[in-house]
Amino acid sequence: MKVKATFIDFALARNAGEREMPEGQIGLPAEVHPNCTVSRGGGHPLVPGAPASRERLYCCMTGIPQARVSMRRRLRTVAVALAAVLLLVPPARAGDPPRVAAITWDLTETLMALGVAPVAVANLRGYREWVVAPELPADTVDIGLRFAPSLTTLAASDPDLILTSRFLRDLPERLKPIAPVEALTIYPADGDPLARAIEVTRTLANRLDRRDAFADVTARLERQIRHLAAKVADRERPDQVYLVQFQDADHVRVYAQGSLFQSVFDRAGIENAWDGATNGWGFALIPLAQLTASADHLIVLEPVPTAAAGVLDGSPIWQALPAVRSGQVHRLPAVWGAGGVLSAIRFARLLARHVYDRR
Amino acid sequence: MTAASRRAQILPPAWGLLLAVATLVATGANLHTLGGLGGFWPALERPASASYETVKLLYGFAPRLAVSFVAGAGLAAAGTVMQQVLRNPIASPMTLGVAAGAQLALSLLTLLAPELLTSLREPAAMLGGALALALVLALGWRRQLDPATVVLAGLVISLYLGAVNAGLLLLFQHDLNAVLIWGSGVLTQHDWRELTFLLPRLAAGLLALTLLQRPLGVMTLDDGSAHGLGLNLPRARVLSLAVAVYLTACVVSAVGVVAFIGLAAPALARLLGAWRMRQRLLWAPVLGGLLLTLADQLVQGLSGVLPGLLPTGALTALVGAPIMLWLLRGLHARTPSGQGAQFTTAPSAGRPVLGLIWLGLPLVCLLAMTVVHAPDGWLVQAPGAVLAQAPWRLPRVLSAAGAGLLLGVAGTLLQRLLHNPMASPESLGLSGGALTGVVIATFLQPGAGHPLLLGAGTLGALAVVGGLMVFAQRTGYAPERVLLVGIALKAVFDAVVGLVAVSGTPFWVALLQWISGSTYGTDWATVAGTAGAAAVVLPLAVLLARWIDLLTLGDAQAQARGLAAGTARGLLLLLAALATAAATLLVGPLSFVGLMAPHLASMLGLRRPRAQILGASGLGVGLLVLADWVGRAVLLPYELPAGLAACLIGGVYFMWLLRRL
Repeated sequence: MKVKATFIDFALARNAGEREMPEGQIGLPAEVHPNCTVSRGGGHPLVPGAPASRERLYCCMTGIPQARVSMRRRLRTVAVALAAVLLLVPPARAGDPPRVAAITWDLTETLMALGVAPVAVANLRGYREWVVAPELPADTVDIGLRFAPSLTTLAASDPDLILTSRFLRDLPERLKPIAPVEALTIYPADGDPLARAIEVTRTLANRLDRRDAFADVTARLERQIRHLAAKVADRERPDQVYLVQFQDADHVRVYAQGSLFQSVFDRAGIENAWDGATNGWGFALIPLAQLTASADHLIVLEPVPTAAAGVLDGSPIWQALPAVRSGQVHRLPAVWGAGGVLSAIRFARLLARHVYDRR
Repeated sequence: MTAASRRAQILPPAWGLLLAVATLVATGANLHTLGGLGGFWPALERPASASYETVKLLYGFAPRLAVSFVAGAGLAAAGTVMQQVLRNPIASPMTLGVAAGAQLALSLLTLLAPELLTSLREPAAMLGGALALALVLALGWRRQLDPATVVLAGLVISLYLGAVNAGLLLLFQHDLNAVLIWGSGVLTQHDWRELTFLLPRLAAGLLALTLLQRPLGVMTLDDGSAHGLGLNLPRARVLSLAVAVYLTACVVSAVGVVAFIGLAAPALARLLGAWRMRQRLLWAPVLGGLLLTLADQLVQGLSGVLPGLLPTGALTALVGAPIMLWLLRGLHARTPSGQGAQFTTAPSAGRPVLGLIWLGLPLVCLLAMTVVHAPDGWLVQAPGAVLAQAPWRLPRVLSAAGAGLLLGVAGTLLQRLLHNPMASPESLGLSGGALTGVVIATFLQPGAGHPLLLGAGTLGALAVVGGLMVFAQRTGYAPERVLLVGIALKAVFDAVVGLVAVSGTPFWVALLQWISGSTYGTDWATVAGTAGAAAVVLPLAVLLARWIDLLTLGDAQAQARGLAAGTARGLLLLLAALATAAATLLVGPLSFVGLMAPHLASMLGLRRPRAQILGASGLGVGLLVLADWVGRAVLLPYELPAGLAACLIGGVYFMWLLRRL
């Protein structure tokens, strides 16, 4: 039976590496690692009180070789006792899912697309409310704000890998002591976010050895977009579409160039009626009255705040909007605008069902 | 009739006319862009068939024009009353925490009961504003609503509620987008509801003010003289303030936080020669209405050219501040003199108190280093674990300590030099300058690293200091003027920050984190920077404390004792500026500490300049280290920035002390 041992360099507070070893060796710290003077099982040594992990042994290194025999003997007693405890802990199984923490929601979603549930996610409450799908397991750990994740909680969740985005600046440096960090950036996207999302998914699939899952999810994406494009192509000319999300009674985010939605539009042959500037996440915040073009469809992305509900019921300016007079108004269930491949699949599916499913 | 009083009657109409012409021109230009009034009447008769341009004119442009004038007038009237009642030329509807109270109430309503938001928006904002005022008045009650105390209490409540709101924005970023837009003062209208809400309420408020005209007019007298005239001043003050708050709350709940109008319009009216209460109550609202309308029309004109949403509330500052700065040049100490910085009756204390403060600091640091909130509870860490986590915890504790020290020194210097209890690094616009530098750097180079941001922030703060010193030198450092200039500058920087806030960029959250004073991003290089700044600032301030002693005696006395008063004041101001810039760049503009630490020191009896500097710096350290620790631990895993936590801890303590005075 083999046990995974993680070596923590106490002085530098970082992972110094890990290796699998036969259980018999656990009681012999000095043979396990030359500088290992203290060894104990259970929680993360940098985070006292952190819950014990299933199949791990933490070995703490001080960097100073221990010479005193009496000390070594005492330690050996402790270690033997610990080894006894470890016998009760189920050993690691080959093919166990990797323990990955994700700081941003687009990477959380990308992980899920590869069939890996993250152990920890930043602003979990917000994810459940705004990204909605894919749903995360109930025991996912919330590590706080994206811009300031709690290092204590993150370390306690015991990840093997931390995913973060470059737009979070020097955060990757700060996380390195806890686990290896991979900085993958979809947003802000300069060109086509979906292409970037696919690229990021491929990189992650290679890293986590999930190439099959990657092939599956890209195939699903292609299928869904073909399905949507076929429905759109029924029309004799390209559709003009506004995609808006109400912020309050008077203002909307209008999604266009640089958003995931635009990537789907482009692939399905849909034209965006908004040709104004957008920010790095592909939307512009504008007063409602600025939607001056006429369009075939005005799509209102949920959630619609209560303050704006009255507007949709028929305020004078809403009824007079060219897009409302000339086209159809649809409401679309929530999709995360700064998402990854799964969000694109979801958006294409919802679009096909709610907007283009005529007859 | 004297020449002066004739001027007083002629000038305001003349300037008002000029403002009106400018407003008309801007409005006309926008109207022209929208296609003129051609389809107006047919649209009124048959709205269903009207062109979109006409509908937009009728339900967008026209109500917005009316609302901007009415809102401006209401804020100006409220500002006039507050400045008169508080005998403070820089009081404004915002100073009493009304806007902050209303904004917080709306944030809470949005989070707790979003389905009630439509029906309860106005009542909630009004309740929030009124509660904030009630709290302010309760704090000032024991001292017969002494203006200095009331202003101080208002400022504290403002900061406190603002901090709570910023915390909510940080934690519930996506849920509070609407509050963010509303809070920046966007005047977009799509129907006539806001106007029909505002107009009758404003009329009632103005009527009440007309009835209160006489007691308002004599409020510059002291309480005894007023009593001799048969007027009950405390009651009149409460009544007038209540009306002013009612006006403010109405405007704020309808159109959001529009800064500067309530401060600038009454000041403009006074500067243009409206001195009697009747004149001011007439002209300030007119000027305020014109000012906000002009600003809003300019914003609408610009919206066609610039991308993104332009909040009028942010831009009022950009329009109002230059006018204000220009007018301030001609201000020859006509304003009522500022209230002294004396708050306390505590006996003078010295070494024992200082010793206690500084001896307590190691304990606070020890607490911050060893007691942690882990996922399964609070615990005291073993020395080994403390050492292990030191690389990411110690820099935070140390930079918080350094920033606290710097802010304590800066606050003491500023309050002493300006003889103004409201003076603080933030109220002078220094932190705003640093912020603006960082915001601009972030926009120009989205991935900018820490050193670049540091440099940009320093430049911004130094630019403000430079501008402040040039201006102040020309006017001889008159306390009110320096503070007014600072507030004008700060409003400009708030405008820039407001623009970023509603641009919708998620970088806003990073900015908010920084604004709220997070130590999350500090590393050893930053710590070295703080330590260096502190090592320069504290000894210099202690060495130069004698200058402050001399300056307190008055410039003539100081000159007589061989001190070049102007130069000395300039140097001390520069020192305060450097301290502020260094602290702001490290842990954000934590104005509350810079404001509070000197007060606390003074309340503990450390009133000689040297003792106050030493005490305030020690208290600043303790306060910020404690705040950083609480912010890290209390909401685990969500971290509150230290500055925000400092407000939340220090604010309550400060209110308690204020109440006990």
